[in-house]
Amino acid sequence: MAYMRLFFNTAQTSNNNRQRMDGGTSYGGAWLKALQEFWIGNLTSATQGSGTANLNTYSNVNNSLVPSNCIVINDSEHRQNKYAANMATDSTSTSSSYNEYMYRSVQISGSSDTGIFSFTKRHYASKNFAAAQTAGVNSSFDPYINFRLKWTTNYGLAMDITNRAGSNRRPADNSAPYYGNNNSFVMQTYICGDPGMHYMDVWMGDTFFAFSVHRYYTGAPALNSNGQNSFFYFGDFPMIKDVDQHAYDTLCGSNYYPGVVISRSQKSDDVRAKNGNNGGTSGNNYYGAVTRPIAFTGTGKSFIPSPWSTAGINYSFGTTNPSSSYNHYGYIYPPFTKQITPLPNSQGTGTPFIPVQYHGGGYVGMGTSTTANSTIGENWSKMSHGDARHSPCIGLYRLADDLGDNPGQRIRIGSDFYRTAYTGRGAHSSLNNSSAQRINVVGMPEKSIPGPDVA
Amino acid sequence: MSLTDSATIAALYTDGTFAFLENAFKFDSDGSLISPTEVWLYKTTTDNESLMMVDRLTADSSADCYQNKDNEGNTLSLFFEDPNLIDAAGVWTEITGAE
Repeated sequence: MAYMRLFFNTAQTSNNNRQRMDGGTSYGGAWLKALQEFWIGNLTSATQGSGTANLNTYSNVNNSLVPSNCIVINDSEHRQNKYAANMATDSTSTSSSYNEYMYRSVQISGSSDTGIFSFTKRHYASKNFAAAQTAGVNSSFDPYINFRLKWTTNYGLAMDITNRAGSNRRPADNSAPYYGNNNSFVMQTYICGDPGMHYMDVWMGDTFFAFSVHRYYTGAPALNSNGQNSFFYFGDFPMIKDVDQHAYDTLCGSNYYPGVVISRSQKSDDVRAKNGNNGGTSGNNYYGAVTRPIAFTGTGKSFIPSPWSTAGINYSFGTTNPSSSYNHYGYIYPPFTKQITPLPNSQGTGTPFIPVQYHGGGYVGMGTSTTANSTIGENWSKMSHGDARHSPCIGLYRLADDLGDNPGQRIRIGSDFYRTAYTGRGAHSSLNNSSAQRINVVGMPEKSIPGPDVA
Repeated sequence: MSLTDSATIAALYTDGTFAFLENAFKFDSDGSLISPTEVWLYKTTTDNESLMMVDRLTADSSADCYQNKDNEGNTLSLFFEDPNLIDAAGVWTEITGAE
C-alpha cells in the first residue's frame, strides 16, 4: 500500500491561513492537494524532488503542514494492483478509456469554510479491468463506491461513503450526530493550526484505504479530556464469484459492493495515555460503525444495514449480546471489547498479528420468528438474521493492546513494514465506559496487498 | 411540494423501507412520530439503474439521498431537504400523501 503521514503545522495561528481551503493550495489547502497528488501517484516525497512530486514545494504548504515531519512512501512497488492496469486518476471522465483505473475522479474542492477530498473506488475484481474478466469475472460486475473526506469550520472532519448511485451515505449522514450536532461531532476541531501534536496517517491501494487521524492539546501522552482520535477503513472482500455476482446481478442490484466500512472515533480523551479513559460513559464521546452499502440475508433478501452503530457503541465492536433488536448489525472479530495481550517470544515481548474478520451477523443465538420476515435484515427470523456475507478484512490486523507510544509507529516483520493505528479504548465489556482502558491497536502494511484470485 | 402527512412519513420507517435510518426518525413513548415533519419522497417503477443515480436527481451535492425498494419492488428516493428534483427522463412520481 502507499502510505503517507501528513503532519500539521501547529504553530500556524492565523485563522484565515489555517482554515480557508480555497482552490486547494490557497491558505491552508495544501493538505487537500497533498491527498490528491498522493492518491494519483504524483507526490512521492515530503522534501525532495520537484513539482508535484515534492510536498515541500506546494503553494502555501507551511500554512497547514510541516513537510519535514511528513512521510511519503508512494513508489510503484507500493502501488501494485491485482487486475487493474492503473491505480488512480483525477479525471472525472466516464469514458471507457479510463476503465483500467482503480480510483477515478480523485478531486479536491474548497472554499472559505469547507474542504472536500473525494474519489470513486472500484472493487479490485471489477469487470472494468480486462485481467479480471480473463480471470473469470463476468462482464456486468462493476461495484464501486464514492468516498468523501469533508472538513468544515463548523463541524470539523468527517469521512464517509455512498453507494454506486450516490445514496445512503455511511457511516455519517445528515441525521447523525457525526454531522448534525456540533457538540457530538467526533473530530470537530480545526484540522490544522491548533496547539499540540496533530497528524493524519493514510494508507491506499487496490484492496483497501484507511485514515488514522489524531489531535491532542499536549505533546506528551497524558490522561486528560483534550484528545481526539478517529479511524476509518474501507476494504474489499476477496471475491467469491458465485456469491458476489449473484448478489450484484440478482439479490441487491448494482449498489452491491463486496466490502466493508470499519470506523471508530473517540474524543475527550488522549487515547495514547495508558490505563485510563476520560471519555467515560458519555455517548457523545464515541462514534463507530461496521457497515456496508447493502447486504443480503441467508434467505436471499437484500437490506440496507444501519449507517452507524447507534444503539450503544458495543454493537459492531462488542462481545455482549445486543438483543435481538440488533441482529442485523455487522461485527468484526476480534471485537474491541476483547483484550489482546502481548505475545512473548524468544527475543522478548512482541505482538500477535490477528487478521480481522468481518461477520455479517454477530448476534448470539438465533431469532424467534419461524418464518422469514420483512424487518431490517430479517431481524427476528429464526431462519436468518443479518448479513450472510463473512470475510477477512484485507490488510487489517489486530495487534496487542497499548502497543507503542503513538499511533502510526512502524513495525518490521522480516522485510515487511507495518504501521499502527489506534481505534479507541477497549478490553472491557462496555466500550463507552471509563473502565475500558486498554488502547485498541490495529496494524496495516506498507507493502501492497493486491487482491487474491477470484474464487 | 413535500410530504408532511405524519402517518405516511412514520410508515416509511415502521414498514421497514427506511428502517436503517433509525437516527432520523424519532417517536415519542406513545409511538407517535416526532420528526421528521417534512420530507421529499419520490417513487419510480423503472429498473433502469442509471436513472437512479443521485446526481441525476438533484444538482445539490449537499443534499443526501436515501434509497431503497418498497414491498412492490419500486425504488423510493427520500430527501430531508428539497432536492429540486431534475428527473429529465420523467420516471419519478412525487409522493405527497397517503397512497
